[in-house]
Amino acid sequence: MRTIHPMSRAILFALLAGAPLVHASDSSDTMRVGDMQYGNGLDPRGWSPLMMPNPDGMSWLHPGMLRTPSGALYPYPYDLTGKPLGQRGDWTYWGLLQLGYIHLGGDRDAEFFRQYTDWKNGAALGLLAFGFANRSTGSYVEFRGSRISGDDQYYRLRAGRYGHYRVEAFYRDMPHTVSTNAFPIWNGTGSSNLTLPTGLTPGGSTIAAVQQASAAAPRRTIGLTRTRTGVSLEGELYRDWTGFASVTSEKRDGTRLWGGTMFFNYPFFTNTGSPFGGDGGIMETVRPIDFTTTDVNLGLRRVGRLWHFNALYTGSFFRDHKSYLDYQNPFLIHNVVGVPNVAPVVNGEYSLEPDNDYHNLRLELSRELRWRGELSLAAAYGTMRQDDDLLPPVNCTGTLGFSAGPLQQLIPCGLWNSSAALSRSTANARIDTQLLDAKLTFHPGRNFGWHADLRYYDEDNRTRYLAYNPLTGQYGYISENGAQGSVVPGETGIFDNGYYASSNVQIASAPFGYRDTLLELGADWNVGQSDSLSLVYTFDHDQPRHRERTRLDEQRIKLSWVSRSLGDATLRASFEYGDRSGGTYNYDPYEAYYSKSLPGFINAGGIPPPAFTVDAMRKYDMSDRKETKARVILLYPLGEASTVSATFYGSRDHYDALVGRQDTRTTGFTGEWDWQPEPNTNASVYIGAETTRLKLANVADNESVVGTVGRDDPRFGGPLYPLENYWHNLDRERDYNAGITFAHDFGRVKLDLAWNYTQSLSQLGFDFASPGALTFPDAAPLLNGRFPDNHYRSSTFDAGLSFPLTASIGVRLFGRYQSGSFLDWHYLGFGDTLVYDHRIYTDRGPQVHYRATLVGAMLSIKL
Amino acid sequence: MRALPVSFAAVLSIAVGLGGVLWSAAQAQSPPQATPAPAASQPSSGLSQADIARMLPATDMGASAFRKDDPHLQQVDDSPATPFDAAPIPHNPLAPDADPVGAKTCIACHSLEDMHAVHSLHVQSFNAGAAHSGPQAACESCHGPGSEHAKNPAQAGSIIAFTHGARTDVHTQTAVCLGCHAGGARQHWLGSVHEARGLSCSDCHNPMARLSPEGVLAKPSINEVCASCHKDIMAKFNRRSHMPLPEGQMACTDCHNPHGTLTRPLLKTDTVNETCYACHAEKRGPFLFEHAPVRESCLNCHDPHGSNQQTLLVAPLPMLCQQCHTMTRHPNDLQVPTNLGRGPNPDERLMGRACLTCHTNIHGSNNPSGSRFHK
Amino acid sequence: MNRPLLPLLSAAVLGWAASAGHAQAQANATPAASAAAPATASSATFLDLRGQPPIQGDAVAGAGKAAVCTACHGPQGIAVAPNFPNLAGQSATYLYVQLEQFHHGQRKDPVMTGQAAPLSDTDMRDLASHFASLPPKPSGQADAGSRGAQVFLAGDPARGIPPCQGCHGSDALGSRAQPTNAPHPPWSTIPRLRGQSAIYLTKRLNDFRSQRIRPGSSNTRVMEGVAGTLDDADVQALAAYLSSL
Repeated sequence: MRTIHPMSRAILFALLAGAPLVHASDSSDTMRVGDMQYGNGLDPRGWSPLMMPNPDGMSWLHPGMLRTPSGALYPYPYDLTGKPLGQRGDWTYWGLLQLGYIHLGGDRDAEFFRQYTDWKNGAALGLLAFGFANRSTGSYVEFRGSRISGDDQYYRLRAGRYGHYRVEAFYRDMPHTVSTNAFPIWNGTGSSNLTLPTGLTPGGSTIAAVQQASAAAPRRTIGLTRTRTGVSLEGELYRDWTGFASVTSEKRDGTRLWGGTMFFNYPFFTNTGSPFGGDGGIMETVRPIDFTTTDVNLGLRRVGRLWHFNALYTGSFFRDHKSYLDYQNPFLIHNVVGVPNVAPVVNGEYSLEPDNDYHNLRLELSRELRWRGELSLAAAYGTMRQDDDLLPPVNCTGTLGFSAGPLQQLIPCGLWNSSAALSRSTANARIDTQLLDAKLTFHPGRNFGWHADLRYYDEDNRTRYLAYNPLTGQYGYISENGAQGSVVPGETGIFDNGYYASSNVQIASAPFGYRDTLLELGADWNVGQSDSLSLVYTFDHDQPRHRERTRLDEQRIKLSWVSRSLGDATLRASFEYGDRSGGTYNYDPYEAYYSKSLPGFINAGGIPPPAFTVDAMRKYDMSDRKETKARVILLYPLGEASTVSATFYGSRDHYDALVGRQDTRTTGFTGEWDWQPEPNTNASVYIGAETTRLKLANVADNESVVGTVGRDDPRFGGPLYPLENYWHNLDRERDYNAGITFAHDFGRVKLDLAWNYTQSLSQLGFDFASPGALTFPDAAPLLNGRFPDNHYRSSTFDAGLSFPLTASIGVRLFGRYQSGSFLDWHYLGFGDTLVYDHRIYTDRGPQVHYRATLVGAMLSIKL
Repeated sequence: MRALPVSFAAVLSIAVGLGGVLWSAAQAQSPPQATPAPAASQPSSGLSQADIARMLPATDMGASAFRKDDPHLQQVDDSPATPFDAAPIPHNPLAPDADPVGAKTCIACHSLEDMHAVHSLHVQSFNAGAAHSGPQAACESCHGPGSEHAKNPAQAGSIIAFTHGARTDVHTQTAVCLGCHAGGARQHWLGSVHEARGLSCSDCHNPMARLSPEGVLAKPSINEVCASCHKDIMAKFNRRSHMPLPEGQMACTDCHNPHGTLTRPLLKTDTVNETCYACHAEKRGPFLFEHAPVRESCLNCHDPHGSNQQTLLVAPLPMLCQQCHTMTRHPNDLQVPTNLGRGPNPDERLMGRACLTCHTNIHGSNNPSGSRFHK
Repeated sequence: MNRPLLPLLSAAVLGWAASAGHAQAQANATPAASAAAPATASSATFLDLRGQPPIQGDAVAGAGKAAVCTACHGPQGIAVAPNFPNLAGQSATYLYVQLEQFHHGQRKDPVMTGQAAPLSDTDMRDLASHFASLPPKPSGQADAGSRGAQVFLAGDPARGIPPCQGCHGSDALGSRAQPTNAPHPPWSTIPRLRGQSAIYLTKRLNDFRSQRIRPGSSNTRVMEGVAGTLDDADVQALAAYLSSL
């Protein structure tokens, strides 16, 4: 599949599509994912400097602005008069160059201040925009570009001829800061190999040394930049056949926070008195991001009088230039038996995402029918594939593990550290998808219509992998690079008919997939001139594969009301009720993928392995569910120059689960008032509030049973999952939003102000039947049933002053003051230390308080 | 494998595209073989009227006959044309007897509207068409024949109107737009949620002025258009973790096609996941070991519109995972504040990245030892 | 602590903003009043009539102030000579906004500029109401088949001439449009043309054609667009038709 170079293929397609351009109608942007918006933190619209309302308004005939059919005001039109290009001819042009300087103050490195904007002190291109248009041929060229820094910029060129063709090319850098507060101890961050600094001994460092290394680690920023380049062509190919071709290439470069696992630390986190601390190893590492993705989109459509045909091909070719992450483990890992391990566990490894190829071809055909009807058919076939070379199960050398009497748990790395240890050397992974959709719509009269829609989707996972080592004849794998097998007897991850005959490990991949059939029937009525009602019934029949249920049926009914009968207001209200049920819930459908199902498996001590999970567990994507949703959207013209809009919404989901997600609720409101009394003035105020809650229940197992009779009992209330270990979590979140904008042109100077505020509070509460639900029951008296409240608050105040120097040159002075506070208990204590026994963390988390300021001056030159 | 230098590909593709353009322009210069010789008064030729007639979109409603029937209108047979020359004049059911009067008549009173409209792509394109075929294209191609309106503009419904309080019903409004814009991205407009809720094209678009950089929108940006009804969704993008919409790097329409699609949330692709994979291609895999809810729907764990948790998660870790995982031993313990970094029993299952510290490859692992996403 | 406060505060802000918006909208509905205060003849900008509501005035008081006017416009509002417009039965709002334009210099006339200069806003309202209340000139015999009638009633699409009746009414007595909530033209500012003298109409149309009225009003802009489509013959035909109505 990958023998043809994706880029050359893309160019070939572009050739085919680009050659015979003749005529075209409109564009296909909203058919393709991505690259619809070009803006940045300085000007999210990528257009604001051009929003200079013409003081004369829209019409000599009436005051103010007209409204959308739903009642929102159109903004006053902007002054975009083109100037003639040259003495004669039909070309006109307009343009604006905004160039200046930005200066930052305060906590300029605060994560939330620069999450998606690469603010830097220095010169910035606010906006360069220009356009050329030929009024007689309809040819045009348009360009927009902006640059905050080398990692935060965009340039986009569009050219074409209305009704004939369009060419587009763009380049953009989009920054994403993940953390500005990271202190990785490893050398080589950003590469595939993380090595410990001098002073630390892989697999044998003292806790004090790790603490020292962490304290000495320099602060780093974790983040990445997406660099996207693309070209597209769209045009009429022949008569009324329109085609488009686009090729986009993205390079993603940077780092992200990642993990590292060398078995648990929590059971061993006791003060042993050893300078090497407890056991296990937990590492927050840094992984490289080094991706290239090439996307190809091809489209062909024909819009005839009755028939509409649409074909769409999407190809995406992902390449990961770093296929693994190796990291060194500083901690001394020892076994619970008490004998010395034969060698320290030094290296950890992750496979990073494999290269993949994706193709999707969709054909759509619709035909107009009488009674304002339409038959619409669509079929799509997609396939995602990858065949990357598989890494060996481990990257260690020599021998790991330990030897103590009957426990001969030695892991010979040489038998597991090459691809010869695999049942096959490449992944050969593939998922195929199919979509069929048929829809029939009729509106026989003005006041009545109905539709029927049948949708079929199938996702077929064709990956089959067997974890079998032909060198040793063993099934399974080496868990955690040998760490688990270096700690716990019997838990290396391997199954065989000898030493590991009682080891229940996963031996094959589960090819998850599903087939979903959906039938929708709907009818709508116009009740009088201004009201319409619609009723839609949906039956969704889902057949998951290798999951807890083989069948999920959901029936939904949705009632909607659109009213224009309440004065000038437009009201859109909907109410929806859904009821999901399904076939028998099998709490363990995975038995075939575990060694328990293999011949030769021996129940240790005659007791079957522990139950896979509690039988009362209902995973929330598979459980019975009753869902109610309601939403009201109101647009109300208030006077001639303002609009009030409001949204009320809520949803209630009840999951029929004793264990698992039980309940979610959301209730919210937004209100907004927009005011534009004249072209030179506008203002808006908005507020919003939302509460959500999520309730879940779980049951801690009785670990004293794990080695004894009853461990295979899955019953909720049985010996392994006793009722007294039952517990609940209740997550409640409240969000408040508010914003004010005001802009007024005083003639000599234009003032714009904006304030945006958001505050979120999250409270996580819990209760438990008895301290048995806790890992450390002794802690029960210290608990008050809730976690510290998490919160996120951000307040941004923007102000700008613009004034002209000459007819074509103006100055804009602007500033931003952003403050915020943050608390997330996940990071509690990380400000003090990132090392907790055999745990080393990298990210201290977002700043708890920050205040950042930005001031800038821009010179605007009308071109 | 390293893709071709992007710059080279870009240059080559542009060159190919421009080549195609030039070639097609050259084609347009030479008379088409299939059509009769053009009239003497039309020295160069492109499409004939017969060609145009064939190109007319599905809802022409016979409007092109207006020209032939009206002695006032310039006849356009065999003139060189852009497709906009052929734009039909739609029938206005509320003024069945109205005749076209031509854009020049409209502009006599609506001069300021005309000034703004020529900055909009939509009217620019019509003007380019009208430059060849006379003034009838443009205003009346959307608003219907104008004679009744010109005689009594206060008569509601005398032209097809697209604004608040218009007598013209929404279906007539959208039919006008779809007369040219049917198919393609709007293939699934009929039956889409926006169609069913009685939205008109002009709720989101305003072709009468250039209010937005692209898309002939009714507000200066895509996101502002969507927020006029979906303010609650926009507000979610203010939360701690969000995709870069407020920062101007993305638009709602990057994922959603408001004109209707094959999915209920108006996603552009067959499924939720395929939309996500379009940018997060590394998550596509498929992986040797899959995590069932991940492959099923990204929305099982993420809220793409924003969340108060890290990485758009719908619930705090480890509770997110504990909604499904009660496997024996470590996943099912109740985590409590004493397990936090400052507590007496720090626990890696709660601190920092919680479960994901070890099960890092949670979206799927391609490692032979990765069945538990450890590798 | 600030949790219940915040929505409350926001609601208060919204309420305040809404009432402010309403007040502003009302204030905005009478731009003439606000425009009248600061403007002087020297710094005149065009008079925006788009939000102009119908005016109220005291016709009886106006009669007492009309002595000077009658010298040209006639004691009953019927002009003494055809180069002066008839004011009898004219739209009061139209008369008022013309006086206003003379007063503020948006429209200039050797005689009227001086006459309007000393008038107060009340004077202008009263005078306008007085002349509007006078009986219009009796109807004449118009030729419904004339070129003027055709242009007035149907326009000429081939040349881009809109029908005048759209705004001036099919009987040239102004539009009788019912006000709606949607933005609409200031119908009351549009003059009745019926029975106006041909000489005066010709002068006015030619002033519009040559864009001589500066800075004028928003209605001037409309009429300049319309008159720009007319040639000399059209102007003559229209003037002849309207004067004979």
